[in-house]
Amino acid sequence: MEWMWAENTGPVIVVCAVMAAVICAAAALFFYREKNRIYRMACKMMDELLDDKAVTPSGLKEGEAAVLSGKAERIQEKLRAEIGQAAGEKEQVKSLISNMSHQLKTPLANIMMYEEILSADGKGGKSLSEEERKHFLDKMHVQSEKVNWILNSLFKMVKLEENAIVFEAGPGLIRKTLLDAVNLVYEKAQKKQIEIGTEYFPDCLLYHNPKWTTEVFANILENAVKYTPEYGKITIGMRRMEMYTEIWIRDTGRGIDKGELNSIFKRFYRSPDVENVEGSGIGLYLGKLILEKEKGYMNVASVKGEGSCFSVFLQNCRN
Amino acid sequence: MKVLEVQNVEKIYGSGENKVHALRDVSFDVELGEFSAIVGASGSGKSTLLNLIGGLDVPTKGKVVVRGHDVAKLNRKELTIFRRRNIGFVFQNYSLMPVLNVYDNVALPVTFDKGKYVDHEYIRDLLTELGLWEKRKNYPNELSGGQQQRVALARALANKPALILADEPTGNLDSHTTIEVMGLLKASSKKYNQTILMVTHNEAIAQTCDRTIRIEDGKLYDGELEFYTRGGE
Repeated sequence: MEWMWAENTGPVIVVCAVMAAVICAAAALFFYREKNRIYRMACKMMDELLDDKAVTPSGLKEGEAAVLSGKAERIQEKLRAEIGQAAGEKEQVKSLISNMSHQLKTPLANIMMYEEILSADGKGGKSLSEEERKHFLDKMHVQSEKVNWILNSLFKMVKLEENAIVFEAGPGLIRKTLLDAVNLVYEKAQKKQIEIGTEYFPDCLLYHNPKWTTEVFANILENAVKYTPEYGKITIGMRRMEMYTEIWIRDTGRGIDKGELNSIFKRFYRSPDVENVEGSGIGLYLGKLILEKEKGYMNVASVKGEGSCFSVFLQNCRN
Repeated sequence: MKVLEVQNVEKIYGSGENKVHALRDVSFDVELGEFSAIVGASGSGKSTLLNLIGGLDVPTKGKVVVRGHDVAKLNRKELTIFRRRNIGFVFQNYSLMPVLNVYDNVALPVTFDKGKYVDHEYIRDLLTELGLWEKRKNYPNELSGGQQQRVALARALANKPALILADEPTGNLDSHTTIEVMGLLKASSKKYNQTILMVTHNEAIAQTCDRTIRIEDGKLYDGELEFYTRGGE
């Protein structure tokens, strides 16, 4: 048997080699064509993307090509959405500017008026007493503070919306943050004899940025002080959950109408009931933006006439 | 950019005496990245609406257009692929695969799609975001309700769908876990720029959404309160 092997190997090997070569060539040609086909298809897709035309083939078929065209469609949508968003933002900026100029007009007019009174002092024979002068200066000071406050919050809001402030949020102890916020409003609360107290409040690590979160708490507390009558009470408490920690701030203020609960977090929203109370409708909106960046959120429960309870949810720190 | 357009949709179940008008002349749009809630009492047609949008049912009249595709015009095969690539579902009862662990449950819709490779980095990111990375090897029956719903949420996000439809996602959860699931739903919708449409009968939950759509007896009331800003003090 063995000699037969030896004798026949030569031609067999040759035949095998030829066949292998042919198969290889065929495969090479096939893959070359396939590569070309995919290249052409991808190229066409890109062109369609660039020309803002509908992407072919349809993304609703099985197979690799359809997956790619599905993705291409998504890219196209994203581009269109961004264009639409930019247009929307332009509108918002317009309304923001008109609103802000309104907000600034009154205090500025007041400042100009006091300035006029003060500079007229001593001219035309009429002179103000030291007391009066001080009175007008104080008033002027209050109004300038107001302008300053409006500008500051506007600045923060614009920066946040532009994503220009990329603040670092990280694990931090919450007690200090909250305490800073309380300190900011403590004086105002004292003036109105409003008691600020806490319930069970252990210190713990939460995912937040102290500086900006203080802003959130301060805004809520400021509202609480503003809308709570004298001798009212503000209570702060905490509830730990698996992933989030809730920090609630409850007041005994005027409360919020049920129909308005969804609107109070919107920019510039002011309840018609408090039209006469000072405010710009920025605070809660700003708070919402900040919390969104910290992967948290806030909501409110309220009974009209009895008080509101704002809850801020921040993520617990996982190791 | 509109992800979803619902145009004059009407849905009637049954015929003759048993005819039930589930939806009457419902129209609304949903923009990309919006987090909307559909609120209404039970039996008001919320779930019917969600089924129509998800392509699980066809409207008697009117059109449902998701990303330019008229859902009613797709054939069965196209509809399957359409759902897989464009829509993520989150159900009240989680609907997880009991024989698969957390990771495989989340990766499941991606592996269904031929020609799509599984982006492990993305799934890892998702699971970490939802606090499930340590639990990735556990099976659904070893998890709490809230955790199971978080897995369902991760699964809905895994395919980066155009639209996530959530049908009472917190219906089976206590108030604690509801808060957590809602927070994560909101945070992930922002992080991954997802469009979410959620059905709920809980008004307090709807508060956290960008927009509330109210539905009563099959009719729609867009709850967007118009307000005008006023100048001066």
